Amino acid sequence: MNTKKIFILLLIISLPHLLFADIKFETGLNKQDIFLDELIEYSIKAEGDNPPDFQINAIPDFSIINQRRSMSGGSHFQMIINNKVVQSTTSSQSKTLHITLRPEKAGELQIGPFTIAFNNKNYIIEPLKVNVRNERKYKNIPEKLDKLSDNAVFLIATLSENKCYVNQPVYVDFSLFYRTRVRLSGAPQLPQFTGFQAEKIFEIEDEQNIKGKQFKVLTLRQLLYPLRKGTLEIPSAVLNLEVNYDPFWGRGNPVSLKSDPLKLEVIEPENNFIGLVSDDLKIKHKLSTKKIMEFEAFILTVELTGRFNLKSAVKLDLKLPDSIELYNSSDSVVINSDHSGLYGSRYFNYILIPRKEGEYTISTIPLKYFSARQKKFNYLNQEIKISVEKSDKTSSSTQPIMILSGGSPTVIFDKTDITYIIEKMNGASQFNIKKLKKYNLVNIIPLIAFFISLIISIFIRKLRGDTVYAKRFKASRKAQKKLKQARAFETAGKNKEAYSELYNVITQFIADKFNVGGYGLSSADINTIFSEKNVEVELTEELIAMLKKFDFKRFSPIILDKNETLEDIEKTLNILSKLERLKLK
Amino acid sequence: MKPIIIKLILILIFVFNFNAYCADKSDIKYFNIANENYNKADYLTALENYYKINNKTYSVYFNIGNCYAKLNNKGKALYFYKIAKSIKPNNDRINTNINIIRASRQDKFEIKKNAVSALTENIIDSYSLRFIFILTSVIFWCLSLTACLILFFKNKILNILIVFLGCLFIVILPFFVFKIVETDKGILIENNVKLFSEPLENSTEIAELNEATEVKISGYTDKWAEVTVADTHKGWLQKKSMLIIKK
Repeated sequence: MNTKKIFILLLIISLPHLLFADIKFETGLNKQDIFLDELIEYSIKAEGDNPPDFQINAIPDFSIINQRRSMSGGSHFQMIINNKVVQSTTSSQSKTLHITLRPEKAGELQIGPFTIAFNNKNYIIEPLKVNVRNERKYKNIPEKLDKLSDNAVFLIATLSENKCYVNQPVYVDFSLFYRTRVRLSGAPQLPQFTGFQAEKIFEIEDEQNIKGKQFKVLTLRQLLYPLRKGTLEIPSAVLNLEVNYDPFWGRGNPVSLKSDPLKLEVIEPENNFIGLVSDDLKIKHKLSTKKIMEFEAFILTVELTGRFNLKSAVKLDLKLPDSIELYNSSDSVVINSDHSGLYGSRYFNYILIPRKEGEYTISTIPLKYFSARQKKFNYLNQEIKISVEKSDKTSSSTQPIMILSGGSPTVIFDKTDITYIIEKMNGASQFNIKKLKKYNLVNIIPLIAFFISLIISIFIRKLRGDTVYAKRFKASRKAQKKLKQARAFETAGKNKEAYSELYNVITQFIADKFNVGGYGLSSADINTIFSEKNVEVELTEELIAMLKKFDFKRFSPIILDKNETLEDIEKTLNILSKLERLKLK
Repeated sequence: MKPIIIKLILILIFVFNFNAYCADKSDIKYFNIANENYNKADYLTALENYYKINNKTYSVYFNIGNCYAKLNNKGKALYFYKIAKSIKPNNDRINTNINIIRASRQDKFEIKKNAVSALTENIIDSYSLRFIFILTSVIFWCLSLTACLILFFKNKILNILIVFLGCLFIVILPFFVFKIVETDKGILIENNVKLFSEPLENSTEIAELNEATEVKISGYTDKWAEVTVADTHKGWLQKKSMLIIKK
C-alpha cells in the first residue's frame, strides 16, 4: 500500500454488525482523459449486507469539490419454471460515494489506492489512472472571468461541448460567482431545453481565485442529451438574489442575474441515424437454466450495459433456429447517472420454447452504434449456444403461462393443459343487470305469498277471536247447507220437513247475522231488530210474511203442492241474498 | 299435488336459467370448427366461428380472448377474458391469461390500496353476479317460506330458522348490492389514447394511455366517457377508443 499517496481515508460505522458478510468495493471514473480545467467524478461503491458509510477527506493532486452519496436497497427476484426455482437473484444493499475532483496539475495522475478498515478487516481499493492534458478546455472562460471579476456577483453559463452528436451527453453549467454575502430569493429559473432530453441537475460548490479575489462558486450542472441535429439554443437562466444580505435584518439588495444564451451544434453520425451513441457498450447474456429440455420454456436474458442514453428506444432482436419458438419478450432498464451522462443496463428477456432436441445457436441481430471518441460505427452482437435435451413430453403445443403475483414475476408451466383454448363448450352464459332485472321478478312470488299468508292469518285469528264475526262469516255457508237439505226433503216428497228446514234457515241466518238467539225468534222480535238496524220496511214485511207462511205450512195437515215448495225455496234464497247484502252496523 | 311440484320445478328452471347450461347443437358445431381453426393458427377464421355461436358460454369468451391475444390485440383479448371472468370468476386459466395481458401492456400503474378496500375488491371479484343472485334468491325464498309458516304455526325450530335465515340474508345482501352498484369498466383498444380534462378534444391533456389499460367509467355523453385511471386520475376518453364492460 502506498501510504505516501494517501492522506486519509476512513470509515465510520453507524451500527454494530453481528452478521458480517464480505463487502465488495468497486471504483469508477466518468472520464479517463480530461483537460486541466475540467472536473471529473470519481465513485466508490460498497456492496454487501449493510455496507459501511465512508468518506474521503483528500486525494493527492486533486481538489475535492463536492461529495454526494447514493444508496440502493436490496431486492429479490425469483423465476420459477415447472414449480422449480430456476433463477433467483438477490441484489444486496449498496452505498456509493461520488466525489467531484479538479486536477491540480497535468500528466498521468493516480487516484488511490485506499485502505478501508471495516469489521477488523482491511479492504484495499485499487487505484485508477486519469490522463490530464496540459491545455484548457474552456479557453475563453478565463478572459471572461477576468472581465467580470470586478463585480461582487455574476452569473455565467458554459457548455461542456460546442459541437456534439445526436444522443451524445453534454452538460451546461450555470455558475454563480460571489464574493459577498448573498441569498437566493426563490428557485433558480432554468430555461426550457427545447430539442434536448433534460436529465439530472447536479449542484457543485467550489471556490476560485480570480485576479487575487476569492470567489465562492455555486454551479448548477444540467445534464442534456440533444435529440435532433442542427444548431440548438440554450436560453438564459435567471437567478434572483439578495446581495449584501444581512441575516440580522433578513434582507439585502435585490438583484436579478441572467446568463448569456448558448448555442450547440448538433450533428448526426450519418443521415437519419437514430441508434445509440456510446464509447462504452458491452453485451452479455444469461440463461434461466443450465439444462434445457424439449418443450420446456426457458428464459434468455441479454444485457446491454455501458454508458449511453438508456431512455432511448433500443430494439434487440434474436435470430432463432426454426425449432426454437419465441413465446414472449420484455425489457427492463436500470439507470444511473453522473456528470458524464446516464449509465447502467438494459435487460432484454426472451421466453423461448425449444420444440426439438439438438444443438442450436441463437444470435442477436447486430446492434449498430456510434462511438463519438473513435468517430466510427461499431457493431455488437452475441452468439449463444444451447443444447436441448429430449423430453418425455409428447405434446408440441405446450404453452408456458406467466403469473405475476406480489410484484415478483414467476413463470410456471401449466402441466395439465396442453392447449390454451378450452375445448369443451361448457359453463353458463353471461349474466348481467338486464337479465337480473328479468329474473328478479321471480322474487316477487315469495313476497306475494307472504302477504297473502299474512292476510289469511289475520282473518283466521279474527274468526277465532271474534264470535260475532265468525257467526256472520259462517251464516251464509250454514244457510246454504240447510237450503240444500230443504231441496233434498222436497225431492224426497217430504214437503213439511222442507218447510220446517226453510223456516230454520231464515231464523238461524237472522240469528247469526244479527247476533241474537235463534230459538223462539218471533215476528215481533224480527221487526224490532230490523227497525233498529234500519232495514227496509218492505224487506221486513216480506220476511215476516214468509216466516208466517213457512210456519203455517210445516204444521199444515193438507197435502202441499210440490211446485209451490220449489218456488218457496227460490224465494228463501232471494231473501237470504238480500239479507246478505245488508250493511250492518 | 303432483302438478304443483311440476310447476315449482318449472319455476326453478326459469329462475336458475338452466337452459344457459344446455348448448345448442349448431353452437357446438361452430365451437368445434373454431377450435380446429385455432389449432391451425388461423385465428381470424376461428374468431368468425366463435362469433357465430348464439349462446356464448365463458369458454367461448375465453377462446375469443385467446384468438385476440394471438393476434396481439391485447385490449380486445383482455375485454373477452374479463367477460369470461364475470361468468366464472375463479377459473385459473382466465385469471392467468388476464395476468399475462396485464403484465405485457405498456401502461403499468402502481395502484396503492389500503387493506380493507383490497380485501373488499378481492371478495367482490371472487363471485359472479349469477351466483350471488341465486344465493340471495334462495335465502329470500326460504326466509319468506319460513315467515309464512310462522304465521300459522308456533314452533321454536321455525323461530330459530327465521333468525338464522334473517341474519344470513343481512350478511349476503350487501355483497349482492356491491355487485349491482359496481361501475362500468372500459378497456382501451388503441395506443396513444389521450385522456382529456373535459369531453372536448381541445381541452387539457392529462395523460396518454395505451392499449389494454383498464379504466372505471363514472359517466357518459354521446361520444365521451368520464373515466378514472388507476384510481387516481380522472378525465374523459372517447368511447370509440375502448370497449365497455357493462355491469
